[in-house]
Amino acid sequence: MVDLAREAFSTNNFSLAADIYERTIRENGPTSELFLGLADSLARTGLFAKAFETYTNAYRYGKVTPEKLKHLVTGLIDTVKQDLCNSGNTTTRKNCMFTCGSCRGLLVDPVTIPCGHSFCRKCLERDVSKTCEICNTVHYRLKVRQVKSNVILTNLIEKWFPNECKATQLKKEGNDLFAKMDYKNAIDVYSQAILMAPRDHLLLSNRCHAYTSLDQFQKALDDAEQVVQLRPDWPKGYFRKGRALYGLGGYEDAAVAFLQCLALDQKVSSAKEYLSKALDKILSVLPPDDPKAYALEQRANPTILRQLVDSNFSQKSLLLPDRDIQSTVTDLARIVKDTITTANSFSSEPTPQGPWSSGKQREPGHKCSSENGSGARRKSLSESKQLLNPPEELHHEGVLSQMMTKYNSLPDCSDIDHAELEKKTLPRTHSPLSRKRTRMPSTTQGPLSPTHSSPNKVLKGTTGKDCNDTAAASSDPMGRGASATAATLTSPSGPNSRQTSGMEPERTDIEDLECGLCYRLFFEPVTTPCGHMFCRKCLDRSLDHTVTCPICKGNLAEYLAERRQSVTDAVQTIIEVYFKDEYAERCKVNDEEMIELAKMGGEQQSEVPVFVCTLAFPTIPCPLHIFEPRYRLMVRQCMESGTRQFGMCMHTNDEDGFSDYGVMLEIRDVQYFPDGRSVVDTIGGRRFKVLSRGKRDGYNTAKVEFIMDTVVEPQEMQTVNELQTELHAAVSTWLSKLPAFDQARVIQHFGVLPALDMQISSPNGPQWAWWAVAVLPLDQRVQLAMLCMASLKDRLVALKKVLNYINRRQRR
Amino acid sequence: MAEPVSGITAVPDEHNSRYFHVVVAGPSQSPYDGGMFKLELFLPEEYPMAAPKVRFMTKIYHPNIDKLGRICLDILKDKWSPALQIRTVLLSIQALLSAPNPDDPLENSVAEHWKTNEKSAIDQARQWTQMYAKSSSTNNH
Repeated sequence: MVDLAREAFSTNNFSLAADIYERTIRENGPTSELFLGLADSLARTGLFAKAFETYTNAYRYGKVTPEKLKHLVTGLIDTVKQDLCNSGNTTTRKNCMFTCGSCRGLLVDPVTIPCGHSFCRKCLERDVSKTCEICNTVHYRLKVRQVKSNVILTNLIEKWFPNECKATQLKKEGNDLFAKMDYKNAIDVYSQAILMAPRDHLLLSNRCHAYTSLDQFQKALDDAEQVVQLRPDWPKGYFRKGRALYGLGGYEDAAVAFLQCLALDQKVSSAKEYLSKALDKILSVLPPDDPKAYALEQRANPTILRQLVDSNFSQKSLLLPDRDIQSTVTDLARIVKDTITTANSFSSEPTPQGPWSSGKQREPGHKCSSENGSGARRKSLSESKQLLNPPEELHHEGVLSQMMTKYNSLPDCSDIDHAELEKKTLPRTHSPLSRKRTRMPSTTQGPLSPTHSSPNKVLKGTTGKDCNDTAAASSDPMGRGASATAATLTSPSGPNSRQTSGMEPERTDIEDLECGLCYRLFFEPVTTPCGHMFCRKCLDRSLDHTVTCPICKGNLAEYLAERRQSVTDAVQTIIEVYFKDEYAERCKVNDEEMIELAKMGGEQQSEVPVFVCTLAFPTIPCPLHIFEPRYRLMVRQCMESGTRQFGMCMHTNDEDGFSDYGVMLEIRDVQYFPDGRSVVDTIGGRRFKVLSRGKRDGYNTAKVEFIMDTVVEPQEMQTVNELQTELHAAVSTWLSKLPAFDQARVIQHFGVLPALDMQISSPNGPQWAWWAVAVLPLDQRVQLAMLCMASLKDRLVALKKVLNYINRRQRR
Repeated sequence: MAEPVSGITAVPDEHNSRYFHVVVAGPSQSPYDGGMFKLELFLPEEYPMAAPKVRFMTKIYHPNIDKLGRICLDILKDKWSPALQIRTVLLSIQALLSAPNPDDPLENSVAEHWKTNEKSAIDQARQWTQMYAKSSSTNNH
């Protein structure tokens, strides 16, 4: 019987297993093992109320070790997971800016991986799965050690979060001490760091861990509560809290915390282990004045049992049936859902001026809300909502002044006069213009003590807006660069000039986010393995010419071969959030550029890009090997703008450089080689006459007028069709007389001779005629002449002449 | 001109915005000290993917600059990077005046002179500076 039950259980048929166990218990009498089997089956079916009852029975009949509770743990986690899926609230995470996608702390030594997400180097090295924790992309070939740190992100973080960076240094010291089991000193160092960065959950979590290691569980719990409140989306915080509670003997609350941790990340094995232990404590150890004794006497009386279990749960709503099974599960679901919702809606971004920076804005009494778990949850939820608000709202009023106090520290000497002046005109009030970007370079930041973040001077008032405008105006597309380059020649760049122009934080700040190739705000920023960032299009263009990084000359062959396109999420979000207006302007410029490209070839007379190579013919395929940088760019622009076509003209030796007539080629497919070359499969389209020639981005362009055959007059229709029939037959004969090898080659390249078309529906005339012009051994000048003819009849007459000539030669 | 580089000016041509009139002051402690050297700088269509074309208009006695004023400088050729700016190019040229490299010559006779008798070559360079690079800068005095 038991074997049968086990088999049912192992095949996931839990309700059947439960039935069999129940019957066996009824028939053979209770044993601990049977109760355990029944309880496991019940737990896996999700009937927790009954399962708990049964587990307690199992404990009463024998020794049960925590390991034996693994099915209960699995069952609980399954329920939690199910709830996750049902609520549709999958673990979609907010875009990270300055935070690591793994530890949710301020990025330390940030590395951007090919999918465009950024993590602390340590966090990446720790993760052996090579799976991006944000987008779940698996990077099989990623070697973290070979990827250099993201330069832009590193600089931004050092500049915008000077205190937190110092705190991170201290954290490392603390971690070293911790590793040497010197917990006491580790706590001291962590505490120093926490003074600098009071909202850094990692510091608190590490101190909590150290307290736990010293068995100072109450202190550990205080820290853990803060961690959970700061980062309700961070699974480990709940684990720390659970550990502390477990140490304090609050096993029920500990179990809840562990479950919350597992709800956010079911892979945390230590949480599973401790959840089992906590459940084991709940189910086995009962205080002496407990109704256990009574319960044991009254084995058969379920009400007593219920009382027994009730008395062991302070969180009645969670794990135990005080009403009925359904409500228990609902309660459990609610708590977990709360956790998930809080976690998901929690924007984990620190703002440079925001919650991380100043310890003073911590609300009083937010500490030690441990007495009521759900209360703490609710509070943290509202807090997270507050954080979710867009920065405009965040940076108002009180917060604004706080952030001012933080970032307005002494500028260097050259600015003092100006600053004094402003102080007089703007005594401690802030013009709304100054909004948020009042950061000073970290070099101007004074010594790092918490007291330092008191207001020294109120910098910058009305200048802000002006700077904004100049920054926007200086954006000039790359490649037509005269004015832009003139500007860069004279404009400040490099740290030294920045100090002298230190009165314009907005301007210097936006310079931190400018592409080194086009000197504009990053648009679709990508990161190279050497850690440098460029606009995607700028880097692509540079890679057309050379497979090295424009800044450090590092090899980008792999980057190019993988055809990486992923935008660096963190920097993109920073730009969208902190440089909203500039970003909107940048998008506009980009849209205009795309619209201009998309217009190409759209109208009867229009500008088209020109590939100077050979003659192409309407309806005839023309495969091209693209290797020249300018044509790589051209093909890419054709694809990105969606026109998917360009003009093909023959090379000429005169000063024009290409023929006066050509054919539009429509791109059917592009196959890229790892080195950036490509084979483009095209087919001929409309014919055109070149009206004027131009250049753009290094390749030729032309203003063209499209050529269409004049409509065949009805009275000429018969003549034309007779000509068609005759010539089609002649071409067919010519082909059949070719050596078999040549025939095969013709057919492989151009396809079989198209059928006759008596309707003449296309403005290019019948397809077979173009096939003939392309295939017959004609001089290019003859072919070009036929291309220009706008009369089908003329073209057929010309074709007849050359065919006669060719046939004569073939006969000889 | 918010932050001009000392000793270097670059003014775009009024008719062609891709063409710049450049004046580089000879670096002190070099035989070109005191001279004002005129250069032309042209941004080709492919710029910044291709290097700007720079040429000395003022005659100069230098092993890496030939009679036509063409300059032998790696960043103007194979070491060009689109991340370089006009400003950095001109600074490099100014640096080349401070540190002639006769082992990678463009003007062989000058390089030979430099290698066989450096002092005499430097004197010659100083003389040329006096002869050709001074007159144009009279309006600066």
